[in-house]
Amino acid sequence: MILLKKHKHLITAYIVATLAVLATLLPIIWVGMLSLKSKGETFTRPPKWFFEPTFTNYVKIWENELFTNTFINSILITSIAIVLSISIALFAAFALKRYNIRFKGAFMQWLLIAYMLPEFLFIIPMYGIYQKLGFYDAHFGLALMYQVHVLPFSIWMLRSFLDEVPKEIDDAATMDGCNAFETLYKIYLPLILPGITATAILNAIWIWNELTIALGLTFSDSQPITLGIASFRGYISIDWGGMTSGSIIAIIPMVIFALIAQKHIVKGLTLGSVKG
Amino acid sequence: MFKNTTGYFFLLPSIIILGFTSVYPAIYSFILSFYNWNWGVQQDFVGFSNYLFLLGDKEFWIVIKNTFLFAFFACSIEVLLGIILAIYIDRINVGSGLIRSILLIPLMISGIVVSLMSKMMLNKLFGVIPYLMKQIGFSSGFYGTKSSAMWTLIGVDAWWQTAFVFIIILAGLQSIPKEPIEAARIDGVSEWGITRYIRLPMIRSLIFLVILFRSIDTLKIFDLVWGATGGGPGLSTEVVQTYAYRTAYGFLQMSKAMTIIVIFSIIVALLTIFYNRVDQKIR
Amino acid sequence: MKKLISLVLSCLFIVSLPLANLFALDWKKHAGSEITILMSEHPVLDGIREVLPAFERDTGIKVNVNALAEDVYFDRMEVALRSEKGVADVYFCPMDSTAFNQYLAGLIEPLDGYINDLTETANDYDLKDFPDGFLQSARFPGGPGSNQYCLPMSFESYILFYNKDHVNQYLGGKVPETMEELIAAANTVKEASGGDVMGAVIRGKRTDTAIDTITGVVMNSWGDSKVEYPQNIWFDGGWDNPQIDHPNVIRGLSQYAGLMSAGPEDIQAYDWNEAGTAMQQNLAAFFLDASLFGPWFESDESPSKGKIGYTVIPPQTKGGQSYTAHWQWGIGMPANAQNKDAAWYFIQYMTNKQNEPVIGAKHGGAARMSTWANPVYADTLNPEYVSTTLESMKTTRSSVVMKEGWSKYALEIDDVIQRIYEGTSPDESAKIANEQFLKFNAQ
Repeated sequence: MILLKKHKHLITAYIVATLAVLATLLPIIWVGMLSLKSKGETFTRPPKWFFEPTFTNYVKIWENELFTNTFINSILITSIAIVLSISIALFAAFALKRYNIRFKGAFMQWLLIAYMLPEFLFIIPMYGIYQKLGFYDAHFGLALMYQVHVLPFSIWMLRSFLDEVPKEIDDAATMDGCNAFETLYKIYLPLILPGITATAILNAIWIWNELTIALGLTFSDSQPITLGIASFRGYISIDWGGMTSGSIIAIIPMVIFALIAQKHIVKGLTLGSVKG
Repeated sequence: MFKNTTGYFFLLPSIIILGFTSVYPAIYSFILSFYNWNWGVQQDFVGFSNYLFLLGDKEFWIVIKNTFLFAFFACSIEVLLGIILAIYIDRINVGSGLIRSILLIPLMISGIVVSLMSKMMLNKLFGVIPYLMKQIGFSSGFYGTKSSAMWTLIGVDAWWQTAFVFIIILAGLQSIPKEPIEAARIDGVSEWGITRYIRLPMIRSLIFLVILFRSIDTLKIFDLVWGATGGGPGLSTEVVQTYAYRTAYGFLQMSKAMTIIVIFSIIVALLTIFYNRVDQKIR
Repeated sequence: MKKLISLVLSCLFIVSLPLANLFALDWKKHAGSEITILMSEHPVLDGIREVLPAFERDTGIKVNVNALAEDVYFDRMEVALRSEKGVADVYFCPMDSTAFNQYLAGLIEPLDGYINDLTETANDYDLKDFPDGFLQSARFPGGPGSNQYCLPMSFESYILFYNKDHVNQYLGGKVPETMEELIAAANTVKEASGGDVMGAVIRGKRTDTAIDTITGVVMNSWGDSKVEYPQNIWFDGGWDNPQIDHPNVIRGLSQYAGLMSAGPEDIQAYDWNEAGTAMQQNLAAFFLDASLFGPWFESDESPSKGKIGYTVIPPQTKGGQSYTAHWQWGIGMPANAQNKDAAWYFIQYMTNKQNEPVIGAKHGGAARMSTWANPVYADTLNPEYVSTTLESMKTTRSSVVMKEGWSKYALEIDDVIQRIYEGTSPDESAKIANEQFLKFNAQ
């Protein structure tokens, strides 16, 4: 009797899982199919299910200078922003954990608010000052602006990971004569490397997919891939072939992250939510 | 103990960068909202008149209503669906890793791509979904009619972000201690009883957390709306951030746009603080 | 005597040759410079792209093209004009209140200095080849002593396109002859086809950019009464007297809403590319919008090739006079441009007598009168399209309203139509607009 009940619950679970997986994958598969269709076949009435797949869209899109530039820009911006956020957050998280900071509560509150503020609040003010500093339409400028969102998140995450390191190891290091820098570098850093990876991956995903701030603070030189995709809306007919293949290309790096680093991502999202 | 000055020193870069990227824009926007700057020759001090104007402006309140409506329904659907999914998939051992990876994929896609993909698939003339629906005798205006556009957006956002709730709740469920559950099983409690009285209460702070994150994120929505409907038809899907964008770049009313976003930021900040207080109580 | 005269003439001729060379333009004067042009994706840009290699070869100036989708373009254009460091040397200029507002803010460069300078402008440029009505739209502040800020690259007048197959099938081949007939015919097609064919498609999206198409329809209702500028038909004598509730204006706006009702259920999400695409895919019987669409409907990749008929907007009464409006895209120079001289060469080259026909063949809205007589241009176009466009030009008036902040007024006019479409009475809708206009004036 108990055995049957156990199976029933498992069966319903698999049914739900199957439905969820189908609902998730079908739109993506459809867009993938659209990207493999030749120009005249993209939009037919009724839609064509069987056709000869062709990779011309994927080849043509790399000839599109705008798209390839935005792809490279995204790689640059993401890399700079991650390096910046991890290095600065590491020190901050370390400080919060190890030292008695008087305004700790207020600081954490500030982190949360900065993280939650609507993007549009930043765009106009930063536009003016960025122009004067030369950060407007520059990779570094965008990477810097993104810190308002990725820095708080990185600080929370890294702090949780640092907290997992037993205090005894820290004490031992100090007794051995290590100063703060050395303790952080030689002792903690190797231990929380998985945590750093998780943080970096989650930051990368957010930055790679960001649009609003990029819309306001770039013009032509440092547009990221999100703007590149948006630009496929042409004048009369949208370049569906370019848009679908561009979308798939934009998704692929992040999906690879998801599949490989799934455990890291899960741990990161859960711990990031705990926010110390 | 450790010298505290080192701590403050380590904290300094974060403070400087966060100050520059959050405090400076906030103050600047706040000040700008007291002028009538139109990105040109006009720049007079007008005091609170922007605020007074907006608070009496029918259009502004429609936008606020749209934003909160979207946030409420999208967030509720995502939280409920995500929790339900997590409960079921928690039971699965074989293949759960693969299932999790696949369900995570929409989260990896940027809002603009999701909006354009959905626009393609829901296109009245050429989209695959209206076509399939016509076969079973169902039709909807999707993004094209005032009555259906907002619901379509809510549905698309649910497809996109439910995985966020799912992943976190699932991780929470899987880290619950097994003893209470085994004990309840031996006592003959039903599966749903166990879920209701043991599992969910144990992860209530996580549930609270996903509600916080999703509600603020849905309030701030921009790229999904901008890419799919641009705020239309009419004003039916205009939300605060798209409204601010249009006011600034479309009508060049910079100060008015800043007023809108300052009001909205205050609402978001207050909500954040409120959630924090409630969260302390839950713990 | 004859010999003397011919001798003198030949001497004069020989002497004038080097003089002519003295005045011929040195196209290579700015060779080596680099300019950036900021444009929206538009048939004009396609034409420019074709001429670009010749330009780079003839002048030695390198050109970077920065092209954006139209809605993003309008936003970026404003950003570009206000940049501390110029990001564009040439930009695609909407020749209406948009450019006027840019002029008021000191953001664009007057071109008269260049036009009148024979060392910078070829002597056959011939500014008078452009109809004065076109030039007027970007001559600020208006009146004597004004400067020319943009030069026209294309014009559009608002005409009626119809699908000959659908008209034959559902209307017995009869093309409507009045506005009322048009709306009735569109509804007939919509019903008779069971919704498979849309009766009419038109810009139904709520936006201030539809104002020019709207003006076309309202002009047709305004009839032969005089139109005063800069207030246009929307104000009576002064900015303080809005007249949206004028019977002719209400009639025009109601007719626009009537066309929307004969369209698909989601017409309120249709901007010009949705409406144009529907027509291009043979999914609609009637389409009222810019003449510019013609060449695209006739291109090889369009299913509508050969199926489209062209006519002026049907008049109010049978056999009456049709009226319409026109609008132009132009080319201008930001005040913060870094390479103004090279930019002027580009502007001049793309709008001169030799190249306009080539570019014009892509968009069918050439601004120069000489181009319409040029076979390079005229022969590429469908003759019915050409004759309809030329006929509309006889009774067209400018849709431009030179007012600071005009776009919110334009949006309110669109709102009148949206309200009528959704069921509010036309009189009530117009009254609301009049009140709103006065409110805007006070701000």
